[in-house]
Amino acid sequence: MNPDTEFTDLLARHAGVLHQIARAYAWTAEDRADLLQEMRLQLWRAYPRWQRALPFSTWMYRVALNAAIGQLRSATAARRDVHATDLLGDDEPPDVASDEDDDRLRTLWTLMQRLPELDRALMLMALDGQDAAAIGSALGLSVSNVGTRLQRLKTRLAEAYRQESA
Amino acid sequence: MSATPTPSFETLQGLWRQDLSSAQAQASAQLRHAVLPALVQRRLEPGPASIAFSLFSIALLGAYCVQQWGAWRYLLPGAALLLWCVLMLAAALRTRARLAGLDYARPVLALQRDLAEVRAQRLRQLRWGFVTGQVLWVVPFCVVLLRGLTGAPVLEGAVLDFALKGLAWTAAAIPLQWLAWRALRRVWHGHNRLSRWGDALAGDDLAEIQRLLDRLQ
Repeated sequence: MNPDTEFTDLLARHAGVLHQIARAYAWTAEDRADLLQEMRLQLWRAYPRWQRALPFSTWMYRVALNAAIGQLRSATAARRDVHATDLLGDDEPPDVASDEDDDRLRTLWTLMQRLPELDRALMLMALDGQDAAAIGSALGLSVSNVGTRLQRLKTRLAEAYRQESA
Repeated sequence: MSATPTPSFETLQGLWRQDLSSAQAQASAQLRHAVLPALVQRRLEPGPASIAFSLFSIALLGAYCVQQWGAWRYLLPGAALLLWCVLMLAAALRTRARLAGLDYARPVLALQRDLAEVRAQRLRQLRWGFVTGQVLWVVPFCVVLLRGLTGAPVLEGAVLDFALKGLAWTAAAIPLQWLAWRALRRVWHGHNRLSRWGDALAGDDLAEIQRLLDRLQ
């Protein structure tokens, strides 16, 4: 397959992940669109250097998260106060079964926004079902470090849900 | 926000996956509108090398025709080759212009139909190019080449006789090829191999883009 088409094909298969990353790291629809464009551009630039031994999804997370965190750091208004509704996006409702699920998802997005950049990236990948090795490879952490951080995040998440429901 | 029991991480992963699929659907649509047109244009815009080669051939054949003006026996094969080159270039540019003019905001099925029409158009061009090309690019080409390079009166006596017979045989083989092609299509009707040939002939780039569009659907 031609590299252009192959890249677009791979991007199409994983485009949803890029959207989720954009939602986790950019607060307004405009910022999200900018970030999506930036991530696609960085991925396209880096694509010739992608080593096939690494799964595309892991490599994509690495490049996209770097782009997202880089953009977040360079944005002066990055730490503005946001509501969960902003994080869910104004262009689509959450596609979940019930109001309860809807609340849980909103809470999850709110909590995600409060996490430090690296933990947020770790949480994104863990929620997507990536294993510790893939997360470590994308973020530059050891597998044991990923495990420890993830455990801490799960505890924090459970605590936050308890507080929300109290 | 209503009071909700603490969900397990697996439950959150499940919710996340649902959310991800809706993001995926949105992203696919966006990608189709944002990236695909640029990709098609990049992949299918006329190749500068092939255009340069066509223009070079047209220029050479044009010069030959001017040189042979009045010597109809030698002018005719050159003019026929010139016309063939011009028509092939025009057909290629027309297909490419049609691809560049595709509207990616159309529904997927409509866009698929447009691409299928372009594919059929390319195959038709190729078929006619092949049929006429085999008549023109053997005997007339040799005549033009020899006459152009040496200026010798190559179409005289036995050579003229041989050339005319060669042309007649090539032309006579066309109906046979057509019959063979029809028989092959009947035998391989609905077979993948035929479709793969079609893809290869119409251009792998077009087939790849159609497959990509299928996936984005």
